[in-house]
Amino acid sequence: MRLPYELHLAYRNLTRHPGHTAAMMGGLGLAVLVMVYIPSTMSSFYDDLIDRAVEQNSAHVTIWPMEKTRGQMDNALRSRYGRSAVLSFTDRTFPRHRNLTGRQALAARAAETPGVVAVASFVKEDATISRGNVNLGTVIEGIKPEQYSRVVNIAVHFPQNRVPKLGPSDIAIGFRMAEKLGIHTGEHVHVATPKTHRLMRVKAIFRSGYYDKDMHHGFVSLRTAQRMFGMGNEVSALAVRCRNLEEAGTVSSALEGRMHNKVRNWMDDNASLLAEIATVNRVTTFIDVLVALVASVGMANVFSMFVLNRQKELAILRAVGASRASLKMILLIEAMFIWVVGTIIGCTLVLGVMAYEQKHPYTVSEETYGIGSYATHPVPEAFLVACTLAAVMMVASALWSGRRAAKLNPAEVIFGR
Amino acid sequence: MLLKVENLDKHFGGAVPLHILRDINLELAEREFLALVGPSGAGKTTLLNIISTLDAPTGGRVLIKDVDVHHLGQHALNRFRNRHLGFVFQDDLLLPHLTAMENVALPARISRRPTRQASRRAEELLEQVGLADRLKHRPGELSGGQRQRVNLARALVNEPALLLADEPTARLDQETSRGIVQLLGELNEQLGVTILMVTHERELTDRAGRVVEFLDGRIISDRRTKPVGSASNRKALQPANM
Repeated sequence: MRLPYELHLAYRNLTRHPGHTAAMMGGLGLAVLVMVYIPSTMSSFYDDLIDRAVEQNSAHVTIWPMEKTRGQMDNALRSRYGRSAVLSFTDRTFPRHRNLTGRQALAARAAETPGVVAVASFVKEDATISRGNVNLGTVIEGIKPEQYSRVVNIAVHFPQNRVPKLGPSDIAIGFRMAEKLGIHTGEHVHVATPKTHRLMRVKAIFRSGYYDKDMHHGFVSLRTAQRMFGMGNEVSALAVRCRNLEEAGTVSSALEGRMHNKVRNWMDDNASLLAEIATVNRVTTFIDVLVALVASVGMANVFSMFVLNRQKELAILRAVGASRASLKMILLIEAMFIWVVGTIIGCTLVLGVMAYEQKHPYTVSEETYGIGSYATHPVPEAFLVACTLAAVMMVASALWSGRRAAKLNPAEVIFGR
Repeated sequence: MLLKVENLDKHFGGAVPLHILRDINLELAEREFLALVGPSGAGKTTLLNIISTLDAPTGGRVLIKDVDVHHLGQHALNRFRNRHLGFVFQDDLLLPHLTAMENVALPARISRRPTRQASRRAEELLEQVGLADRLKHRPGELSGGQRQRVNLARALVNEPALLLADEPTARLDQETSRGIVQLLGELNEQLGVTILMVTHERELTDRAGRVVEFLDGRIISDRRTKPVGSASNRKALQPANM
């Protein structure tokens, strides 16, 4: 068998001091653990946040009525009456939220757009809910529960994970509002809009995890909302669900091209959260690189100690004809062996930690984050990056030490000159 | 001529320049056994290191089998050293974590001989130097004489053209030294191995067919004590007991 002698020597070198070798593998394993765990835990946390913010509380894409901007109106006036005729103009007559007309045609066009899996119309307007002396400003959202649940997974906020059927006088309110009003399911509240005032029965109490939504939000049926706000058959907007979150940008661009409406996707709606995530990602990347650098320096030191301790052996090898490339190869094989076992140790440890967290998740402030707890779950990219960084640092350490080994003058080492 | 050293010079610069070798000219025929003798600091080991390609000369050249060894590229030099030169040093320069057999087989493995073939050859050589029962022992488990015999076996594993030995008995007791001396003599006489050896040992000098005396980096005498070994057929050594 032509087993390269470099492989044989590397193996024998590693097994001669099992303690040292195990310590190096363990050290690398810990570095891998840190490099996998930090980005994974941050990613898991923000995935949960986005899941809560987007999947459970808003649509991937929302089609709103087009608002004429002041600039457009201004330009129209200037072009009609001349530049000097318009000194200052504010379009106060135009409603901020005009209703969406022709919703069925729009919904049909939206549903045909590639990447769209479900469309639901909804009404969203301001009202006041009161009971006794307590009055609360509320956002009333009119939905068709079955249709809307296919777009936004609000069912998870309700008991038994089911959105109840809402009759003409039924309302579902958040648990904080219920506490504030001192009300339970089956009891009644007054709901006042600019057009009407009616007594409604609390059909269900939900818990969204968002303070504002749990305190200032109520769901009624779409038809009821249209009546309460005098909207006829119109709605406020269309909610669109895409095949996946990542497609929302493409889908919203396609929708914008197909209809003259304002189209916003979840990324527009959560711009500040995404900016925060980007910052955290930069920090975790920096920490990863820092860990990799510290580990690299450590590994390079250990390897140069290896070379220092084995100077005589390396010189003997050179004396009996081993090439410089062979010396580098021996160190490289040792490094790769440590890398393989070290990364297996690191990945196993981090998976163990994650499995523990699944059973004992972290608790966080639900009022602040909208989620009460979270656990780190494996993020394949983090594993890939950590294993690659570990490989790079091991190869770099081995090559650096290998260069030093290759520069050894065998005569100087053997004869001590 | 197997070895030709022509106008070899070696000096070190620095505050006090040292001239170690001055205009050395030396020739060595195949199957010769040459002993380099002289006081400490005479330049014997430096000459040996330059011939063995472990060190480079300041001037002059070394031809082994008509190859100017110090003008070979790094890769060719490694190959040349591995295939054509065998070394036995003062200290037993063995790899401590390898067994005697693995140490002996190492130069053969470096020359990319198949593992089994290299191990078989190592086993034969260790048998020939009387260590058949020490194949799996590591250097730490062997005596000084045994380690030096492992060194000898390693030096011979690739059947080198030239065996270079630097005071191979310097750290051994008298009896063990005698065994090594006998072994080297047999290698030369029975196997026809060409040997260039640095030594202080009178007995070893007697065994050599030619003695070159060194002083202050110069050859001051070169005398032949025996004709060049007549062994034409290589034959196995008798295992020695040390």
